[in-house]
Amino acid sequence: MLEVSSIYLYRNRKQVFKNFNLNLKNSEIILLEGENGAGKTSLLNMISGLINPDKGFIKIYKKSIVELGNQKKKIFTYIPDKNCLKENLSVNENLKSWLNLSNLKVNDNKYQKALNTFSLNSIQESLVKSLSQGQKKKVALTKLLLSKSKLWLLDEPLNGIDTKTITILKKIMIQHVRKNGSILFSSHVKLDLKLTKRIILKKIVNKFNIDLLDQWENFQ
Amino acid sequence: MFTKLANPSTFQKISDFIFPKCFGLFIVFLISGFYYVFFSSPPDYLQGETVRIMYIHVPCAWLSLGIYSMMAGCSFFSIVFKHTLADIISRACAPLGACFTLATLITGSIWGKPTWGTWWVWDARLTSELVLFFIYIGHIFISNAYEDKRKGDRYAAILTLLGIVNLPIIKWSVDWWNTLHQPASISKLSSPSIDPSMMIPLFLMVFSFLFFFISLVLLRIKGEVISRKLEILEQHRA
Amino acid sequence: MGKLSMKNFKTLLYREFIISFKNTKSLYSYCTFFFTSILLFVFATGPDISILSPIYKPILWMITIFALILISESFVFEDFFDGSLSELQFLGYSEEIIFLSKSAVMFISLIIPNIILIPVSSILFKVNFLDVIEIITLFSISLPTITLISILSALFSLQVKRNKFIQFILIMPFFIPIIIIATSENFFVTNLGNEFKIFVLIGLFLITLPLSILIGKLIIKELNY
Repeated sequence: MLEVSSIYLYRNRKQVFKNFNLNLKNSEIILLEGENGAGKTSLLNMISGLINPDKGFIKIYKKSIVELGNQKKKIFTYIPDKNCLKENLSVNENLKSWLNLSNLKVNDNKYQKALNTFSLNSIQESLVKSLSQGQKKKVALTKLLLSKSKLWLLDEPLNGIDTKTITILKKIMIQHVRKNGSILFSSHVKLDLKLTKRIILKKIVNKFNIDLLDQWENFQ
Repeated sequence: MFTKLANPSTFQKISDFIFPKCFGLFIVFLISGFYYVFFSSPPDYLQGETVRIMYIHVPCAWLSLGIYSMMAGCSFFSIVFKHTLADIISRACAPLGACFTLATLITGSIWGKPTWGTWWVWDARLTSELVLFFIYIGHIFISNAYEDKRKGDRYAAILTLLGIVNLPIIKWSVDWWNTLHQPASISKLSSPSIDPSMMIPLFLMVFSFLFFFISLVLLRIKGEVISRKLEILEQHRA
Repeated sequence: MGKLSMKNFKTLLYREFIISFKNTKSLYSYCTFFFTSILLFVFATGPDISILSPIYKPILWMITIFALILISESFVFEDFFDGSLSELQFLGYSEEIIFLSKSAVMFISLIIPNIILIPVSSILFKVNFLDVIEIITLFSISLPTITLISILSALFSLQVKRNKFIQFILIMPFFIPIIIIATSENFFVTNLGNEFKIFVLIGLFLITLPLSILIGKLIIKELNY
């Protein structure tokens, strides 16, 4: 369903991707690993269409990300590293606003069940600014339960949450894969999950040669 | 042509070839222009000797607008094609443009004191020239405000596109509003409202300023290219 | 496509409304800023009403423009730092619509307090009733234009760390035509009719709108890099 082929990307005068390929099929989980600055977030940002690769193309269901435009919200759910929550709104309002933005209608029963999974029921009326870092992450992850899309892109979903929540998240991911969904996620924390594939991203060290000084591309 | 300029050392070679010629032409035009300005051209029958300020004021004013439109072209090029040379050129041009604008304002106010009796009037053309100066300052500020030079370049290009609205206002302000400032003397080349004895030195000075600007820009571009090369070297050593 | 983007626009507008009206702090601070700055002007010129009355219009405009630049940041700053700005983008909302909805909400949340604040403050300056109506009309026609420009300035300064002045320096030149037309009786041209002013202001808005949408889109895209 997701096809990334021969991607080239330069950021801050450094080459981040050089002929990078990735293929994600239905009911597959791919883990992205790599040190800081290896380009995990950049890859996810490229797939979600936030930044454009310098060369190469990304296709979801055989359509490029630019073509998808408005349908993006139906096709994938992306939980970035930042929580995307408004501090001045309550948990309920935040999630309702997200549902509204992504054109989803969820009945109350399912909604409460989703909140219950991460035991957020007791704090659903409190403002986001009063929550702890882990609770905020849980609220962000609740979006996964509410979404109906097949492709999940998760950027460091395990950051700042406790072991109990990690096991719950694992369960959710397994369930999603059973339902023919697929997941692409990045993590530093070890997670004993049956992965289809593990991709280790490495920093590209281009050997210095004098030709580097002779291309305008490197001046950017 | 762009494929030829496609790598920095070719560009460098071309600019090294052009630079001495431009500088030489600047000297030649400047000397001949000065001869006409100070000895050959007559004083104005109304303004007297003060009219000679015109030979600096007008070229500076033309250049201040011309440089801005050049920068606008460059920023269009940099936004659409993302070519670094365009960014480097507009980064090199901005301080020069600001200097020419400042020179226009200063010589203008020196000229204004004997003829209009005041250093400054809040009149359409003067005000819009002042605004142009602030737009240049904004460009310089924004291109240096970010830690990442590339980012500064991108934002500066975007800002320049926004500022281009000011150009037609300056150009035609003297026609739209009745102001103290005289209307353009040389609007049609066929029938200029200026005497040939004044037009020859004026054009000599314009060319000398133009070549001065070109040679300065080439120098600044060379400096910028070298500093970026150094940055790359630094990055690879680390 | 057009229908869809209209629907998108409505959804976004709804979201922006909820966020900005939950956060009433900025509204209070706007009103307080307005009156304290008026107070400062009064202290600077002295209480003589014959001096104060004619400079009411310039004072009003100066305060509005400074307040606009200061307040515009609050409409984009939080969205940028908690990641919602990029969330909107990867949900498939186009940058143009994001920019437009933000400016629309900012316009509405500014026009409401100003329609109340202008008559109230005009009492302090003993301004004619007819003049007040003229001021409010011209003000509300030119407010969309300056709103667009100040949102742009806020977007420009999001990633600048060194100083806040840059927002003023960058964007002040673009306020000039609007101030000239909306306030002055005889700057450059004598006897501008009110109808003429209205037409020129609408014209300026029509020039600014497409240009600022284009530039807003470019900046919002650039923010991801």
